[in-house]
Amino acid sequence: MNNNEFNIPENYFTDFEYKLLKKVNKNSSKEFTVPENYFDNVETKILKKIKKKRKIPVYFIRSISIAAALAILITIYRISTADKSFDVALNQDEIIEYLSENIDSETLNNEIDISQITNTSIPNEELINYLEENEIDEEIYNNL
Amino acid sequence: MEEIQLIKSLKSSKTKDIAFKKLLELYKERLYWHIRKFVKIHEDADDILQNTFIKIYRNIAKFNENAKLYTWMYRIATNEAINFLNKKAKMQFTDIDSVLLENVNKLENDSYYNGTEIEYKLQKSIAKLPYKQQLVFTMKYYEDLKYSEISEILDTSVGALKASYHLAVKKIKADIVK
Repeated sequence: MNNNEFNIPENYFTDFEYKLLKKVNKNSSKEFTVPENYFDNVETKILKKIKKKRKIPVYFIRSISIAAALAILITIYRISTADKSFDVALNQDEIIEYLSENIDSETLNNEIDISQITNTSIPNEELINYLEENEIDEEIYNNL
Repeated sequence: MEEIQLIKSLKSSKTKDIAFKKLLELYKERLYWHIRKFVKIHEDADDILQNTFIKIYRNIAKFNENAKLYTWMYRIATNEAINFLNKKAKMQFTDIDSVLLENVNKLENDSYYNGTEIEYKLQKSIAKLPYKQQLVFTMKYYEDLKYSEISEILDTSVGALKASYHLAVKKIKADIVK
């Protein structure tokens, strides 16, 4: 049957047959095979893996990362403050040196009332009573 | 139309799991054979297929709806296969081409390979090509993909793919006749 209205590429039907047979042969080829029920099992395996990975909640991962960030910040802060105390220690030496050079020890002693410091100490009896009331272990008490 | 609906369902958190199951049903075999024809060994193809679907599940939100879903999935599968082979090659202090050649040599004693003598000879000739040329040849010859589709998957121009395929055919013919 010839149709003048619609044209087809040259050798279309020969090529079509060849292409079709090629496809059919390829699909029926048993060159590569898979274990029995592989495609059913792999589906279950993949779904299980996805469920397992989802079980670790996002907020848990977030809280771990926040905790890690905080730990880093605290470490950085400690390192920086440790450096500062070192600076302060050096400054204290300078201050003591300055005071010993510029202020005489008499004025210094008059300004600080040492008896105030000794008066603040807790009497031994009070301390013993407190420890007894709070049932502090005898061994610890004896070691005090 | 069905694909558009499937993508919508995959992108919605409420329907994602059901839609993903459907996606698995629809594409597991196609993607498996795409991977298997490239890596040859079932165990490797199995690992890569699982990694591919996990990646698809995690990244479906990033999928551009203007693109074709199966082309996007083929791209992921191909990249996963290359990554897998790369890792294997690094562990063996070698390269991908050598790993693929080794895989083909294993086929002779593989219980999941039933190729005839000529089919095995063809596999051996394919394995002698550089791995990118192997990919092009496999996608064209075994999977009958269009050059435009391979171009999207491998991010290579159609012209370069045609040249690569014809060169691959020439090399294979020469190797078989030898």
